[in-house]
Amino acid sequence: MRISTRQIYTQGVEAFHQQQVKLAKLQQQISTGVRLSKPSDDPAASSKILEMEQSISVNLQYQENINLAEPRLALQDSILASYDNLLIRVRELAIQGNNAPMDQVSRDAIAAELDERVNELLSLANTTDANGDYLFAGYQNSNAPFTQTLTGSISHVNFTGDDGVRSIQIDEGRQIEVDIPGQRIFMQVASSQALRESAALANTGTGVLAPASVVDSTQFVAGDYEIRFTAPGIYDVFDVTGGVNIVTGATYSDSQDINFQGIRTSITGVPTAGDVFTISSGQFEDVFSIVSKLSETLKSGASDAVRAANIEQSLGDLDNAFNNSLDARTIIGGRLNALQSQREENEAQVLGTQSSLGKLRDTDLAEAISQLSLEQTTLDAAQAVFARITSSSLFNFLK
Amino acid sequence: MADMLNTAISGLLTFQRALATTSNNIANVNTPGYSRQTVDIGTNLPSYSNGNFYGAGVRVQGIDRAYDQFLTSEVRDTTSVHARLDIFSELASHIDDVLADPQGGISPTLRQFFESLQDVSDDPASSTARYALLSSAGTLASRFQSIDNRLEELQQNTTGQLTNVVDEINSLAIAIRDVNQALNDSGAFVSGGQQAADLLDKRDALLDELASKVDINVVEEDDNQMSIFIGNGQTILTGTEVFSLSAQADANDPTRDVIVYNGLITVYDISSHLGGGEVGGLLDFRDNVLNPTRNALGRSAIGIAEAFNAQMGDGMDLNGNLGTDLFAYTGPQTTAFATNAGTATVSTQVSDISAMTTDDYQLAFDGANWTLTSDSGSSASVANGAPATLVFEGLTLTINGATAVAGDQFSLNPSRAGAGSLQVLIDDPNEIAAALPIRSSASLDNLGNAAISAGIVTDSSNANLLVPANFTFDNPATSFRSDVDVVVGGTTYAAGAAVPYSNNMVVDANGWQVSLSGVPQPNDLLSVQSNVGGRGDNRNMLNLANLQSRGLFDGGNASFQEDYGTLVGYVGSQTLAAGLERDAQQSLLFQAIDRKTSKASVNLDEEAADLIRFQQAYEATARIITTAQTMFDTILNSIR
Repeated sequence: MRISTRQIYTQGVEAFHQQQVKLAKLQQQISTGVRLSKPSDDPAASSKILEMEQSISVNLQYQENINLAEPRLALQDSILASYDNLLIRVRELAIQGNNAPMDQVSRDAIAAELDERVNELLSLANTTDANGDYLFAGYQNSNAPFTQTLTGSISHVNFTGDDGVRSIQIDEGRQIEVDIPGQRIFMQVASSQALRESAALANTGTGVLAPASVVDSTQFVAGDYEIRFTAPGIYDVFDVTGGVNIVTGATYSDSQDINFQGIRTSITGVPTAGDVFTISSGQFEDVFSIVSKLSETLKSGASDAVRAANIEQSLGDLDNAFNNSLDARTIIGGRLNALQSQREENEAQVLGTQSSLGKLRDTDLAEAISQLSLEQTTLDAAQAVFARITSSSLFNFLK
Repeated sequence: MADMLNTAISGLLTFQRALATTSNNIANVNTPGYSRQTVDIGTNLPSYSNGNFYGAGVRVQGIDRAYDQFLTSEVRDTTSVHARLDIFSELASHIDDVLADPQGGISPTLRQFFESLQDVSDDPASSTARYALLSSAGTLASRFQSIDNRLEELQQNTTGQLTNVVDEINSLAIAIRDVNQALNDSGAFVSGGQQAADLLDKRDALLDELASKVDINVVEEDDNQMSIFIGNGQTILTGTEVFSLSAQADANDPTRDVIVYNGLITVYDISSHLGGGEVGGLLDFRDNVLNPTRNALGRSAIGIAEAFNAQMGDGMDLNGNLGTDLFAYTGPQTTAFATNAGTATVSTQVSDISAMTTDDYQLAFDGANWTLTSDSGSSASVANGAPATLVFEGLTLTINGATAVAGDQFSLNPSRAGAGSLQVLIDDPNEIAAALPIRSSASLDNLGNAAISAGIVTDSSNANLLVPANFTFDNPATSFRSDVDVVVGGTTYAAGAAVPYSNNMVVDANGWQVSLSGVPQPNDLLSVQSNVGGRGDNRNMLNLANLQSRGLFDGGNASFQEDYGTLVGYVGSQTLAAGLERDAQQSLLFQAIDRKTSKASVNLDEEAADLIRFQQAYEATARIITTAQTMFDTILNSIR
């Protein structure tokens, strides 16, 4: 085998090149700590790495979602805790007001406090979150959902929000609700004396029926009642269940109380003959009405028996209101627990993915450094051999 | 003595030549392509005298060039293959770098975009989160644009390089022609004549360089002239005649650059036949890495735009309007061939992103039917019409073929322009449709516990989408009346008609769908209304955020991330394979060069030895002259 002088040089230089490429790669791997710096280093691992990075990022975002959901739920819980305390105070007042020896002045004082409590209830129900959005309004959270209106002389709280519930994503395919609809807590208190009012669609007059309430529990009989106008300004009250008129030929005047079977209501406007208004037993009472009714009972100076019966009913309604709140708080507690355990799960997943990602992507320093010194040695050897071989030439001996 | 002197002089001349050749070898030790030369020494014709032959000295019979045709063509062939892989691998690694950049790739901006969607869903009314969403959508779009710009630069670079390489091929062909000419003029190739070693070396070096530009076939003619063929037999040099190549935009399809052969009679495109050298590498890179990458990136961009626009359209924004498009992009590009005799027009829309490929297409008319053929060979046909509609691989082509002429063709690039044109259309954060346009409720006065689901939008284009609907239960509550037309289980019930109630029934109306459940009582009321004012609603935002894991590509199997991961993996493996092949080919090339140089190149030690050998021979021959002189003196002295 013949070898040319050129070969000796090109082979030597080529060996340096190859070693230096390896050393440069190792240098990059060690100094950046990353083994795979471009897809061609390991195409399959590269797309796997992208997936892992996404998984980590998504899970961290879920954690962030959880971090935001927790204070929201905690705020709802603390509002409901205040609400519970308020109901307890109202309950105390109710029991206090039921004490027979108390005079009317004292009862009026209690009623005044109850009226204050209604306002307090209203402000609790209209609590806003950190952004100024109403917590119990559902989707339409820019306006106060609970509004007090007067129909005639009777105050009434309306709910103008909705049942919309916000969910947040806490895991792939898992959403958790972070709202309790305010209507379920404050408006839908089960009550045996709840009433609902409606005007017949065929009515031709301008009469509007005010919210009806039970003012005398001793006389109240659950059922459907119709206020029927037989002539302008003249009405009957018809017991639909019993099929008889309870009131016949009464004279109507605008906004004046209409009382029957312990129920009180009123009509405003001008009803015409043939107009019919219906009051029927409902399912739910709102908490504001329950407290207002208690106050009215205390103010009314009704007999001890009527008052006792009304207060008895109110206490039962208050218990139901309390149960609503309890249910809601149980749900909130459950959600907080779920968030907590999901957080731990996500954390474990992030850690697991990070560790697999590290194995796939990061440089094994021990291995890389030992590889580096090996390649370094090879380069040193190649250089030494090159120097030795090129230094010998026959021309050195031609003198 | 005269013989001795003649012999001595022949020796002196011969060894001078030998020393000169050795010196020339030493001087050219570093000349690329230089083939070692050796002096072929032989005896002079002997002289005849008295029945005996007497040796008559030495002469130079010729200067030999250390040359092996097999080794030379081996180097040439491996050079061609290596050059193709080298340029391919270098260009592919550019894309590799662009896609993998941990800060510059699509992946991080995509993640950030989805994070900001989640942030809005956490707090749908927050204008901070909404602004952040718009800005991260903008970042995503501009990242698509900037990567596409870099690919566009690579494309222009490739085209420029192609032009340069073709120019080089032409000038190399001319240079080789000149060497042929010189060899011819020198008469070196006259039968039995001497080789012009340096000219041959030069021609071999030029051929190697030409082989690194394009795959060539070399044929040595009888008169030792040389012909060169490329592609599938196109002559670029025969004897002293050169045919040139040129790189230019395809006359028919201006979206493609082609290599054209300017033959004796015809001019035609030979791109598809050029497989080796830099030309082969550039074409291979353009067709198998660059264009598919741009198409895949474009398809990702189109997929994102289509999916988000559709989902946004199903939502309602903070102003109470139905959502509008979040992204804009340039759709499929259809270009008519310049040769078309007819004036048919074609427009193309993306109709199903999950069926889309990353191919380019050609649409051809045969007089009766239009046939669409993809680069990967799949095809579909439709009869001509005005309009004719062809739906194929996620694309819908509308062909107005009233004036089409057989042979008309169009090129179609479905997603090439997608990534470069992606941009965000919305600049008012209030226009982000985080809410659904409807909400539902059960009346507070209901006696039963009938419930209505929150509802989903099935057709946001329905004109009555936001018209409120009320379902009032009859007495007994086994049916209800709706004040809008509803569809239950395929049956349409007009407004006011009794709709039979069943638990968990699904009701469709006005482009939305709800389900009803529970036990209703007479006169109970369930209703659906417009969600105007629903600032706290994040339902649509959750839907938008969930697009992250939705399978939108490849028949619904790949999410955005998986689609992009596939692209990264594809480019990575192309680059890796090309790099490995290049390295393998490089060592083959080195081996071939090694074999050639080992035979052809100069070894200084050998030349030193020759130097000594010839010098000693020269000295010894000189001594013959002094000996002859001494002999002559002896004779002169004896007769004095």
